[in-house]
Amino acid sequence: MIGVYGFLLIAVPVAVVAAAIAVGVAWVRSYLRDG
Amino acid sequence: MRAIDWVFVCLYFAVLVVIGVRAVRRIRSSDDFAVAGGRLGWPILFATVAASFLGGGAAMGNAGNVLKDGYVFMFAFFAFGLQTVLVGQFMVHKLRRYEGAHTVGDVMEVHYGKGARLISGLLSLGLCAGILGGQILAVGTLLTTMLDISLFVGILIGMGVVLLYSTFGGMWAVVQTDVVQFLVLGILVPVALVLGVVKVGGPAEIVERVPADHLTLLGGWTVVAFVGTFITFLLGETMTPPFAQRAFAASDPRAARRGYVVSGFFSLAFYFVTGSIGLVALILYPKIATDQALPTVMANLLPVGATGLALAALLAVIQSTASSYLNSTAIVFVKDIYVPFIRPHASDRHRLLVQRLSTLAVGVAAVAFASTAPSIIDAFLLAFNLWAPTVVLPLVVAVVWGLRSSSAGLAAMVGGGLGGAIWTWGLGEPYGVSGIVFGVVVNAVVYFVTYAVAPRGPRLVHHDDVKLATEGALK
Repeated sequence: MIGVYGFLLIAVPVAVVAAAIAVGVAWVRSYLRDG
Repeated sequence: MRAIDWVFVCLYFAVLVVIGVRAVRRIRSSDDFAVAGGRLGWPILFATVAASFLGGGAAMGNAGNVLKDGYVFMFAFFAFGLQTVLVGQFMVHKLRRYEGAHTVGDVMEVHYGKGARLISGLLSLGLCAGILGGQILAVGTLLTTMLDISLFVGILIGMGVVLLYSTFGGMWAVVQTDVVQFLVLGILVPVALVLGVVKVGGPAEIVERVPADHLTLLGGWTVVAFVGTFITFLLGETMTPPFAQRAFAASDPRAARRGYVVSGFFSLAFYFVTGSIGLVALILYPKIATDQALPTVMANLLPVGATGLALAALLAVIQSTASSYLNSTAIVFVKDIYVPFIRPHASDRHRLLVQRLSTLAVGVAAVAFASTAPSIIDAFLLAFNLWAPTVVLPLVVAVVWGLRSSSAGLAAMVGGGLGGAIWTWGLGEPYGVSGIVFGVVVNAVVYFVTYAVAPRGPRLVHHDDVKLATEGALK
């Protein structure tokens, strides 16, 4: 039984990385387009 | 450090330099230098707000304090993220109505006159210089520890590139490099946590092996201590200069709101990540100093090139905050002091030149003070204790409700500042109540009493009213 904290210890870092990558993709696209 | 570590660190520095140099050609006016021409979309705003405010405190500080006291510190720290969400939802989109504004002082002058601009400008300068100096010391200490070099050389390596891109590329360069730094810290720090959880034996092992009170809401703290710390974190850095500056840099009000709100929620998740790294450190390295929790976990658990990756991530955390405060210090000096009080009719070309020279001068002075006389930085940091008791409430009620009264604004700033200062340094913060909390209460009481009895102007409610008043004040 991992409980709420156990779940968050995996889910939150995965969500943070996903958000960072999403922003990274959006930024690279706009950077390549506009400089 | 092995060759592969150096490759990662050099690659990180090279990316910063390339982006900084490319940003220079986009700077054609003082507006470009101060607020990136007001053209930032919400994803970029989200990244730059997050990178600027997730500094050493949110990373190394939070991990170390959770190692020591448990999640209670992280719960108190959540106040920063909550403040970002609230300000994003109710305030930043309204800041975008002050066309031509770059600083908190610009808004204060519209509602409270030139005296309020001067006070908030001086406090902004002290606050920015102090936080900048703190970040410079942090970057120097980090490089001294990891590379075994002197503090001065560490500071030069860590700050040289920041000074370069901030001086020539202004806000454009700071924002673009913020995004890179956001990516580095937003990917490597959570990966280190996942690897740490695996190393300990899974999430259930962590929950089982840390002391039970490390996972409760209050841990070993009293309710008074928790509430006091929470309120201090909630108000202490509200609408500090780089924070406001990013709202003026938004492409439109919706982008401003969305960028800040998303950044606030992201901060909450990031605090959970760094706090949990503190728990991993408590299990794997129980004897380390608290401020070494995050660097130790990252340097030991990240894969090939670990030390280089960890160093790049920690540099990203500190440098993004340093560059934002360096840029703000120069912008505040030019907009709140130089132009209104020294050279009112300066051309835009002249303003841009002074912005660049001020960035260079502030950066060099901060490096010199941090290397030789850190106590000067402590003196500047006193402004941090006075920011919330003086500026925050008058600024919030001005932007959100449009209140205008020079008497109320000035009286509240002086009263709140004096109240906070006497409570903190004169009385030594009795009853465990922080000077920030006491000062904010005095500030609010003085403001509303004076507003009720003294002369006041018509409220600025509609967009056109704000536009007209801003043009009048900033002409």
